[in-house]
Amino acid sequence: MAIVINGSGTVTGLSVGGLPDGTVDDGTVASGIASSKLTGALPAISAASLTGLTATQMPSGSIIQVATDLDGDYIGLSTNSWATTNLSIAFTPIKSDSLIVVTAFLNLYMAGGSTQHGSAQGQLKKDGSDFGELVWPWCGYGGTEALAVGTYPVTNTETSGSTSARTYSVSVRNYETQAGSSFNQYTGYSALQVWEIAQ
Amino acid sequence: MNTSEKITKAIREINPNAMFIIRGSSPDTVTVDGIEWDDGITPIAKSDIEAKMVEVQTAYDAQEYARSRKAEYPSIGDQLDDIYHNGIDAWKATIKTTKDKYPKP
Repeated sequence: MAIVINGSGTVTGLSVGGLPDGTVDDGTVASGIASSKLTGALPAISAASLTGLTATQMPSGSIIQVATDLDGDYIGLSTNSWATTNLSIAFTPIKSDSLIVVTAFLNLYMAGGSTQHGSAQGQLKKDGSDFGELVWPWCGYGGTEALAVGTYPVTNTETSGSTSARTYSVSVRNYETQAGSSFNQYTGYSALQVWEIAQ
Repeated sequence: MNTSEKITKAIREINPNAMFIIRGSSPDTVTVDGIEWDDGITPIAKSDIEAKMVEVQTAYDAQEYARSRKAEYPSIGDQLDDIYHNGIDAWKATIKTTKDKYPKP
């Protein structure tokens, strides 16, 4: 078909593929292309080219923010009052409908013996209030000396609800009264992690 | 016995109902300066705690022979087996070996 340049400003007679590669650049493509024009099998796009994606645009299940705090200090526990650890994270969610996963991994030394159990309790806090707690194994009693030493987790989740800043922290204590557990220790080398996951 | 346990034992002997924590960088490097008393608990003077710690350590050291013996004695099951097969005198001889190895001061 012959190519005809009309006086009205249109060109007719061009076939598909009739223009050489590179003829149409981004300055020539109309803005606001309809999504219907982008359906079907799209060519693979290098992730390196997707530089404009932001955390708020990530699909459900994507991890969009992670924060970690480590603590190497030590606390000898001889009270059933909560003792505040150094583990604390000030966290501002990116989205108001994200899933927030808060997990602490606490290194503990729990010693039980003749008249005492070895047992401690960890507590997550959100802005200073209880956000979930857990009692770890009771060991030793009635003449059986026993130690439970290791890393113990405590975790909880919530929907972010807003993009307001909040602080997650961790406390520990003896689960029994002081007379029942004298040598429970928060031995440090512990961690607190907060994950924000798009929903 | 690490320092944290020693401080705890000393405080317990002075006041069995004391409620406190001990903060520091490790159980071996804590000091009485790291003690935080619960609200409502009358703090014990540091000098009193340190003096009691010396007593606690002395008492602990005095039991070293007993801890060593305990760690080395055969299990109760093995001892009963020894008595059954070899008699009381042979069992006593076995036990005496450990007792002689770690004499009572």
